[in-house]
Amino acid sequence: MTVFPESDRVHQRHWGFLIGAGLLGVAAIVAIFAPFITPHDPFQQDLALRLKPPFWHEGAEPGYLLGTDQLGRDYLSRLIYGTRISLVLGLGAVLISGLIGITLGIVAGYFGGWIDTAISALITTRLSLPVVLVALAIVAIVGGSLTVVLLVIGLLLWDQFAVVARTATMSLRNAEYIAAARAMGTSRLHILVREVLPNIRAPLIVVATVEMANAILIEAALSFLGLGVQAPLPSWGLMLSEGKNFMFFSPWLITLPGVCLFTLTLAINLMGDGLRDVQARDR
Amino acid sequence: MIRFSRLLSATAVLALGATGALAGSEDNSLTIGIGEELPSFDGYISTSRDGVVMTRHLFDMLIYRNPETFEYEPLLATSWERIDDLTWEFTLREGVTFHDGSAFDAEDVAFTLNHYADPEAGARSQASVSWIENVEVVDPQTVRIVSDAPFPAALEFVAGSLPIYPSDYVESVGWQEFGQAPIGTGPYVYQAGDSNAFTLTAYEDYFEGGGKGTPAIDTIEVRIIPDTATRIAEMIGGGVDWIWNVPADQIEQLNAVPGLTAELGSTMRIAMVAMDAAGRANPESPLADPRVRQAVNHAIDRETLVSALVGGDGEVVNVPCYPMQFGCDTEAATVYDFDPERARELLAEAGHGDGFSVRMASFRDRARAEAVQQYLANVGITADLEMLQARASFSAWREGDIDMWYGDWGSFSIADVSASTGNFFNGGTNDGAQDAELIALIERGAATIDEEERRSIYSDAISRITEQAYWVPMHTIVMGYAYKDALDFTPTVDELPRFFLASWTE
Amino acid sequence: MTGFLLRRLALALFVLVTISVITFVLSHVAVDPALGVAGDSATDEDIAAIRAQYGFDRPYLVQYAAYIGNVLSGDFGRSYLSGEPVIGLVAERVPATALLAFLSIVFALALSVPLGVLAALHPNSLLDRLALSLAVFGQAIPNFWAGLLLILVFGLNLGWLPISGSSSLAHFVLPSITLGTFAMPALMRLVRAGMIEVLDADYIRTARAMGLKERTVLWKYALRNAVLPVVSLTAVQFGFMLGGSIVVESIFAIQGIGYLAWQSMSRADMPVIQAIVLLVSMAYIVLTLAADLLNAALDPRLRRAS
Repeated sequence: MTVFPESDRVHQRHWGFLIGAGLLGVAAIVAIFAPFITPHDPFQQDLALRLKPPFWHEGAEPGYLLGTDQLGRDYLSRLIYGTRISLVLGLGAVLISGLIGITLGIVAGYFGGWIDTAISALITTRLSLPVVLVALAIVAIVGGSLTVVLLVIGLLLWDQFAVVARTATMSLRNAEYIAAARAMGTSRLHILVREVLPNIRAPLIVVATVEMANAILIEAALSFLGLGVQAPLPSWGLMLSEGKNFMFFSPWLITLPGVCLFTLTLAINLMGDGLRDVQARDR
Repeated sequence: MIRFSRLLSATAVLALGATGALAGSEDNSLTIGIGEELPSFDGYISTSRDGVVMTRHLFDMLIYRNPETFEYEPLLATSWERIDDLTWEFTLREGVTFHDGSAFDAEDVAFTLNHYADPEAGARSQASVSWIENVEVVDPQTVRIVSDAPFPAALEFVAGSLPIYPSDYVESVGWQEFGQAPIGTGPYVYQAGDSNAFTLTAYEDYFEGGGKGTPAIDTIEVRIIPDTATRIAEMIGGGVDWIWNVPADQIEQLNAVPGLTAELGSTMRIAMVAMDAAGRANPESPLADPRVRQAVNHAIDRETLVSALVGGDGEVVNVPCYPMQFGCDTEAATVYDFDPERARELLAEAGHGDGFSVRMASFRDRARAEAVQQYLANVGITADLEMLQARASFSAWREGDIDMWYGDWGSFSIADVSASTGNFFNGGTNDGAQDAELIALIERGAATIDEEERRSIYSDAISRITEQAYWVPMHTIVMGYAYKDALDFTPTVDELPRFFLASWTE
Repeated sequence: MTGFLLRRLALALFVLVTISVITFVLSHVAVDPALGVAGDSATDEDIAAIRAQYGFDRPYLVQYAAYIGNVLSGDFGRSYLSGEPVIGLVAERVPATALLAFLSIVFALALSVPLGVLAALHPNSLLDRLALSLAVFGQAIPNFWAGLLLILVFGLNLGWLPISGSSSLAHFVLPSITLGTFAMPALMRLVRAGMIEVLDADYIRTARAMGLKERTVLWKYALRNAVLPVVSLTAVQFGFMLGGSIVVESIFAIQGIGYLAWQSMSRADMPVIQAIVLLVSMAYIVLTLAADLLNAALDPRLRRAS
């Protein structure tokens, strides 16, 4: 857990963080080992076995723990693969947006002046673009796929990274060790990457958790509207959209993916809150 | 998690008992829920199914086809006769008025039809109007429709898709505005609402003696509820009295809800997977090879798909037309059994043993489209599925943007093969085959009057289409309806709910 | 103050121009507008004719200038689908969305301000934890899912509220809750954090020491100061809602601009889409500008600083 530098010290005592990390860990394991733990092929349809309820209902089909969907595909297997999609999407989007946002933020905060003005204007521009709307428009033009959705969300969610990185860098700009490095003739790139970045890491990690949860929810919303990840991929949002027409008489088709989505975003948010609390305490 | 789900399944069951008892029968009004917002009320422009239904209520055609007897009955015209191979003459009803009180006469007929006979006018379904050469006013009560070539299906279109508009009103407000504030002779008068809804009120001066009778229900509140799940929810909750496009799966359970009737009505609509054999979307398309198209035919288990996902009396179709249509010769068709092994062999023979990717669009039913997608995946064909709205999906096919289209076609409810096969293999934008031999056959068929000869021409066409496997003919579509028990309503095979014939029984 | 105002206006102008470039690219470069105008039964000659007639064959820079000219005169083009002017289509739907966004914000504020204040007064109490849990919960719940569940429970099972449509205020209850839940967590955290900070400030301690009534201290001095950042965030959230209502509107069949945008997307009706993106962004810019000015007026420190 080197990603979370403070984890050894305080986090053991923060329940929210522990629960969140635990749930996220389980999700990660499920996603990584998906092919080995799914009882069925998540794509294989069997129209004779369609809309079977989960095991706690009457009429459940043995071997299909969480029932089947409208095409007779094993729901548990689809939910498991859905974890993969959400996590890949969340991590991928945060990597892209983090790279863009942090670079812009550090540059703006360190150099100030007209560079800062320009980048701040860029941030304001980004903030005034409605994310879901723009993402939908682009997907509508380019066509939906996991890659497209990942790229689009990644390219849209960098604003908070930039804001936080900029403010944090500004407060460091005149710190003694930075001034010392500058005096020693260290290259600017070196200063930014080696001196500034490590010292503003903590708040950025909190932003990363928030944006990851955000990215996952936006993907689900796009897929729910039919302009995101495309069938037959078992995106939770798409599963909700497919199950929606059946929700009156086969409610598990929407409760299960919804609960999964909720649990995953909750876990990530709990971790983020935990980190934030710890940082606040440390300060 | 388990508990939570249990709670929710319990609520769903409870919901069955919570049907609103607020029937519109109290004030003799009817609230219906439809799926698509109508961009215009001009029936030549708004050809979606919901649009056609509204056209029938706001306007009248010259004649009316009785949905039960299939006989033509008088409507705006009281009698009609064929003068020669090219000309039909109609005698118009006297004393008919438009909703604004102005009188209806032959001038209105000529004005409307001559306008849309011109391709520039932009009628969305050119097949409905392109046969019209000219419309002549003989006297105020007599009008003649002249076609450019012998056109056997003329009366079908006159009864089916040619509403008559008030010439004075249209000229004063313009066509664009007319589509937004329509005035017709029909049994119901349009009243604008907010963008969610509009109202139809029974036309007090509607003429008697026409095929449509006189309306029993005073007002029809039309609510636009695009989402199927929301529409069903409103039906269960009592917010609407009538809905359609209910998925077949839900019918049995909805019918068990107290106070509701849900049923599947058979229709003339056929579904197909049309393939881009002409390479419009992709000049290198593997679908240009007949063996690949045959493989696609063998890959799809239509029997299972129909029994599981279509329901009602939906059935597998082996022909590129509705089997009850005139000229739709099922004997002429080559039939492809479900045989994935054979499909793989054919693909290997064609040099596509490793499979390939296509873009497929569909609209009506996501589950069915995904089932087809999976059948194709099983033989190595990756189909990227785009679920669009009906209109956008149809456009994608017509503009040649996609390799495969799992669409359907209602033939304008016209019982002649020229409205189905004739519409998809005539070299027009619907035609993904662009087969010169076929186009010639279709053209000949459309212009032949002799019934036997026509039948044999279309048999040849059907034989060629299925042999070349330009389509996977899929199945008939059944339409799911749900409505209050107290509503006297009968679904018809032409998928045109007639609320002017409906009434409340209590 | 004037300097601040000018800089703020310049920024707003810059943002507007950048966004208009984006919407221009969306509607003129990324797709071929001639195909859209021509409709689906057009031949190649028709399309070529339209390209010439509408000037789609000119250099992009010239087209962009024309586009800006049109937008400034309120002409956003015509819908490919209905042929109606886009501005009319959008204007017709603004009230429903504005009402939805307003009610959602009211719901979010009604929940977050009292809870945030109470939580700040008793940090780490049970109440504080409950409030924070609610925030975490609201943050994690996908709003389209929440919408479906609300329909099932309150629309169908209990039958308390109408399910879809926008013909009465009752119709807006479920959608507003759905959308408001999305805005609530951030607002509540901000109120709580702001209150904790303010309550710790010297002047509050002084006020208390002077024996002012606790209620007066709380509502008259503390909250007023804590509320400053909330004003900005409310404006920001309001802007988000105009864009975010797309999902909620599609579920509850509210014919607002979000729903119009979604419909237009599945029909590739680009003139409508670009107009909505542009207008929503403009609304956001105006709102944040107003919030900044309001803040500047309310906050003496900011006023002096500039």
